[in-house]
Amino acid sequence: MAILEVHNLKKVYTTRFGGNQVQALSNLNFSVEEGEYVAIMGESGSGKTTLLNILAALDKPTGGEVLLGGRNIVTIKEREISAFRRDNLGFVFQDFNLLDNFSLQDNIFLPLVLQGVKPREMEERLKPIVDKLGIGSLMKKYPYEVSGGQKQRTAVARALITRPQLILADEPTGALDSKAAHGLLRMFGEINGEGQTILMVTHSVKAASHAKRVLFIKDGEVFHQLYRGGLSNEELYVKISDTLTVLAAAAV
Amino acid sequence: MKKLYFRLAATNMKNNRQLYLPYLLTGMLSAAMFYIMLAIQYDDGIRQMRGAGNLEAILIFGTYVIQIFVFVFLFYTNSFIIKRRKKEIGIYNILGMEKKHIARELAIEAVFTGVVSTGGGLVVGIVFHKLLMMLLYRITGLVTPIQFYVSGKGVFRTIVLFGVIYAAALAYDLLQVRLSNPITLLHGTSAGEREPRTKWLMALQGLCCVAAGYYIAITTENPLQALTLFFVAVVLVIVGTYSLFTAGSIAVLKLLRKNKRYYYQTKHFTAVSGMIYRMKQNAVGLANICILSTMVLVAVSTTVCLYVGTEDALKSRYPEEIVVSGTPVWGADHEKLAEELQRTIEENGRTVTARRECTTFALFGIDEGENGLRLTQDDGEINVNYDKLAMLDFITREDYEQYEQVSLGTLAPDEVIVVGTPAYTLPELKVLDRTYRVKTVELPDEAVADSKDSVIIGSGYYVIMADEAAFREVYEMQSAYFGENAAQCRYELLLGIDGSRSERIACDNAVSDRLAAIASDTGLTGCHTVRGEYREHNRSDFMLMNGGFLFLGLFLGSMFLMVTVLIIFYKQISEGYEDRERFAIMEKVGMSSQEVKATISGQVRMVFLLPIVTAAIHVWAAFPMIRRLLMMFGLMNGRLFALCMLGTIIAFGVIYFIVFLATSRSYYKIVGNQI
Repeated sequence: MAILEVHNLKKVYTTRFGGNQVQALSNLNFSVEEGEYVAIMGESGSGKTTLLNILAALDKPTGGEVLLGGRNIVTIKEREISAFRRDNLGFVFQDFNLLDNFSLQDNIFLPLVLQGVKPREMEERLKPIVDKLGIGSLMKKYPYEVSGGQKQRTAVARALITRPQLILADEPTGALDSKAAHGLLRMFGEINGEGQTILMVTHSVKAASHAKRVLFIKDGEVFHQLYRGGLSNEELYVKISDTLTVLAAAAV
Repeated sequence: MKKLYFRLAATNMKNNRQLYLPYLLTGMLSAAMFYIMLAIQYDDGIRQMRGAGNLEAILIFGTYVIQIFVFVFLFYTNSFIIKRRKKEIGIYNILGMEKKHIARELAIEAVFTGVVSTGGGLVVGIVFHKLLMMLLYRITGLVTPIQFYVSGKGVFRTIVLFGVIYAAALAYDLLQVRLSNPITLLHGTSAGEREPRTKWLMALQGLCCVAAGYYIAITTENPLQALTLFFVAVVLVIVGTYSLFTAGSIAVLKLLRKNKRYYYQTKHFTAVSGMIYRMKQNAVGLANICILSTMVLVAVSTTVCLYVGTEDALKSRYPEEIVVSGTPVWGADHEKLAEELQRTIEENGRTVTARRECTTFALFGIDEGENGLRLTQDDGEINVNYDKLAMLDFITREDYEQYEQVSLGTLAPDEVIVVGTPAYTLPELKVLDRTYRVKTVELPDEAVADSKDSVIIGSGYYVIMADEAAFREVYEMQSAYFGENAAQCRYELLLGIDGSRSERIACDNAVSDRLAAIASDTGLTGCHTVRGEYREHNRSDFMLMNGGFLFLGLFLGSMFLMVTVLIIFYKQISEGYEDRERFAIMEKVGMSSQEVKATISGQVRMVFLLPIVTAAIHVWAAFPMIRRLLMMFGLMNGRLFALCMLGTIIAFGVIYFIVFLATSRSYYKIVGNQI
């Protein structure tokens, strides 16, 4: 069953005085099945960020529809959108977006507090997640006291704790060193192995090579896609690189 | 190359006008106020006036306060601005500007700021000097014509003071640039994100200080003691306020955070943690606002009260227009004296509307609880026992009845009535070797209040003796007992007259002349010394002093208010920049804009209310003490003071609220970009 369906998605940005129009997404179609791990790749300006903002319900498209669990998020009312977002989506950002004035534990609790979950239940949910992510001993620390990798794991825990239908990750390894990035990607693999659907936007070949499927976006459309099939990470890495080369060549 | 610096400095100030404009404006206004204060002080017209010594002393005091104050807050504002600008300076540094180049640019800016503020301030000051002078004359009741003039000395002192201030500010800025490297400059504004530690000791100390200050303010009964202890209480409360705002607030918030049920609720979660963070950055700023607000409230309400209460004070000090006192009591013909004066008054075309007289002498007593009062006249003993000190005014029943317009019934020779507050409850009153039975009578409140009004020490009583024989017996007994220190018996004659103010003044002058003649002709009335005091003569003195205080109170009040506004403004801006990112993140994590807005306005409201509510509590605690201090200025009307205080609090609250709304808009503008 498809958990996410994107049909004919269009987004046109108009400059302030209506002069120039920029087509960020022209006609985008794809779907994500439950339990999938999809990476979306594309160069800067290919419409990745626009797509992610629309999927996150932070921005409205000019045309087309986005179905999450069968519900069109484009038509959700403004007042419900935040609740919808925090109940159904989990976010992992490039720059972590942790709040400095909360301990790691409180950062993870933030969406639950917004949902109105009881403190006891929050603690019950917290334990298995942070233990799995290996940050169980850091809960009393503050974001400025821990490393980048640990911060990003905290962000992952925050995304997981609401048990969302879909995790949206925006360049999750962008601000990490290679070792921390590797650890995080392995973690994503494990989480996905337990059935969590993940959609990751990245331009790192290394990151994309951990996914089960890779979509390439160019000029606001899906240009190509790769399935892992039986390939190892390294083999997929080579295939992605080749595709990117072709993509770059096509641009000329 | 030189031109470049000028251009850079100009662009900088233009780009940072949101920060610079208020700084320039306050600098200008304070320079203007300082100049006006000096110009009034150096005005020859005022100096030559009768009783202007007090006014001048008040103005000199004001100048000192302004001087210290202006220095502190302009310096503070400057350090705030340079903190905000560190990033920009860091970028210049990285782009290849050497520190000496940056220093030169900063120097140009400082000179510009200094010249504009001081020069502009002087212009404003010179223009408005006459207007404020008119205000001062108006409230002090002076009628001398005012000439427009420029005080050279005032200009000079203003330039010196502000020159020093801006030079010090520049020195601080240069030191900041010198001490830092580009990286720390770049991150200058975002430094210090760590969660504050709980300083229990400091919180406790703050609590103790405030409690001690309040205790002193509320329990000090004696106005003379209040005067010495007032400043102790003020210092304690100021120190305590700073500690409580910095450490106490964080301690309380952390306790709240420990309570999981409370903390993990949408409303409290972000608010509590946000406040912990915010208190660390802004505790000092909030404490400043709190203290300044308290100062405004106290300065304005007391001076307004003194001014409005001038009439009351005059009446309590001079119950009738003419107050004549004379000695000796026995062997003098008081009737003759009164007749002489009455004739003078009538010759002057006035009528006597009231005539009251009495003969009294006063002794001090130390309250020894169960043992009653022990009489003493020893200065040493009196000075160390203010709070136990009672003043006993001895008077005959006849005099008292006539003076207060009451009827007391008859008294046996060994009986007395003791009137006063706190009520005298013992069954007997011992006066040296004699013991009198105390008879209790019900008296109207005004009469009792009058007896308290006449003294400012612990307690005051009228001891009403049966008749003149009994009265004289006590007098002679104490004369023999205390010898040199014995109390003097005094005859007092009060005469009320009708007529307009100028008519009464004319009459007062005539009576004064007549009294001088009577005093030099002992044979006429048998009085060796007679002295007259006149309400109208003293009115101008009272007005000059109380009006001077009011002027200073309003002047300093508006200055404190201006600074409060400035601090609130800068605080809102700096908080806006800090909160912007946090709220953006919260929204990304799933908070709706409504929730974010609710959180923001909740925090803003809390920060708004905290200083002003604390200030109101401070003022409330200080109320009893200030009331007692006002008694020393002859203001006995507690209700009037309460009204003035309430009025000031309400007026200040409204102004504060308007300022807050206006500055909140700049805060929302900064934060709102994200929402």
